[in-house]
Amino acid sequence: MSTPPAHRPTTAAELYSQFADKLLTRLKCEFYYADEDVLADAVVDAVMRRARSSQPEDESVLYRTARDSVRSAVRSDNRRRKWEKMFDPGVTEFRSAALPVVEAVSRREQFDLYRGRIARTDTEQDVLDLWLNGYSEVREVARLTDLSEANAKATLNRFRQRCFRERPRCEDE
Amino acid sequence: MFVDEDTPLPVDPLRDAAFRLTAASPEYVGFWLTRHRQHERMNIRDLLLRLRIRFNKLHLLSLCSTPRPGHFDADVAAIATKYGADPTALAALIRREQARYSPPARTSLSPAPHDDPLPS
Repeated sequence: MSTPPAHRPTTAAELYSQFADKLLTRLKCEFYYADEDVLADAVVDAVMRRARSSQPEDESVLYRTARDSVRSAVRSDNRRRKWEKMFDPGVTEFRSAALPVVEAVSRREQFDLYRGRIARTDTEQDVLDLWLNGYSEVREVARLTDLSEANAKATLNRFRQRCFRERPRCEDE
Repeated sequence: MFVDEDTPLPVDPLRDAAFRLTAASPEYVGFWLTRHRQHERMNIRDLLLRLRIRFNKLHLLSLCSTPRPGHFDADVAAIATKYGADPTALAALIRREQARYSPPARTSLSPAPHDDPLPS
């Protein structure tokens, strides 16, 4: 029989220090249309939930928990808007500055398609997330992804080549 | 000084989320810190001075679990050592707020009878 892990009152804080910035960066790439406060709440909520589990330091589970939380917040926000519109059409009389949901979803699907063509492995996807978020310095990318500088440089070059190659195809679609 | 009076406190969505979410859950130290600030009508700078902690560690302190009743001193010591807070002040603050607090009854929608009202 396995013994339960020793209680550490600082588990959530340690998880936060270790993963929060990284998770927020990844969520910003995936949910570029969502409010930053919603994303930050999802990260902290995931950290607090995972801190109670027996293996809290699993980054992929932490990310999935945060992502589910954002999805649920976005869904509930959409539902709320729908209700508001139903009861008081004046609330949404003018066009919102944000993208309409259908357009956002269609853009999202297109984005996922191109993303899959440009970044083909998990590591490449991590690098692409950083690149899309403005990290174009090789040294910085290498530091944040634990790749060697040579590998990070090669990956960024591959993205540039693939973008160049894929552009005519994307424009046709 | 831990934060200069004239310096505006930096805004960080993650840090704000940590304060906001822990303030709603008695399982976290942030809950007791928030209640203390509300009861004592303190601003965040006063709290930093009372706990002798730096601003960039306060959200991490908030994310620590509430010390367990049977291991209160050990848990407070672990938390305070890790984030550079004054253990005596932290223990006193938590004990004082826990004495004031009674959890809301689950079966009733009315407010808990012995919980003193928070200032608005």
